[in-house]
Amino acid sequence: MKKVLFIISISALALLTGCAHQEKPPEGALYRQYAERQDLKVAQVSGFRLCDTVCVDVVMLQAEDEQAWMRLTGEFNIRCEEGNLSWLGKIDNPALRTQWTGKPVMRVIASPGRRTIGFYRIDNEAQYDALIDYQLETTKNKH
Amino acid sequence: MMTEQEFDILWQRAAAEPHAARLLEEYPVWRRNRRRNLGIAAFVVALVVVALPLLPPSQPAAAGDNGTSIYCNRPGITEQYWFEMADALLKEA
Repeated sequence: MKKVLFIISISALALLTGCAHQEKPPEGALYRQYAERQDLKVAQVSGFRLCDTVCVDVVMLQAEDEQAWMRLTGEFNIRCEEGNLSWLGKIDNPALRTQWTGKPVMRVIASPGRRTIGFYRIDNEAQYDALIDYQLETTKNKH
Repeated sequence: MMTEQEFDILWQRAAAEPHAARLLEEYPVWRRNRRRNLGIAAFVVALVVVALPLLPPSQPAAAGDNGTSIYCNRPGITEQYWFEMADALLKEA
């Protein structure tokens, strides 16, 4: 009896310890690429919730000043006169525009007003649809 | 009903004296096993006390219920700020 209790308790402890040490997702390559830049505020949000069942990871780059923003716009081929810009970018190089083919992509949204670029990582169709639904819902609520 | 002290005395004598052992056998099982049960209960309580802090948080330590974790290269900025920024960019796109 004691042996059984001992084995059960050790197993339970091991299981719980394993759960407790689940660390948060690692920093993405994009975050690491820009985190050292002094002229940018850089953030990576893992698990930004789009609906009850779908989350995406988001990386945001926010320029500290106009000069930093101009540098960013150059790096991502953004023309500021166009206002807010949105495109699908390649995972390894979000500056390059691409199309949705079912493979992982970045939804890139650039806001000159906020001097911020957001990169929403889309790995599957559910995320792609949820992102569109999220934006459509917002648009619907505006009107 | 035997008091606990009487039970203890009988328990100690049980090994040496057969009639004391017989008395113990007649005693209700749950009373005889009381010490063992208390030991198991204490063990379970101790296990729970040790395990509770190890449990992962049910909610992420993030602003609101949106998101699981945040990295930021500027420690002074709140998580709420970035959640609102991610939300605002989508809404304005």
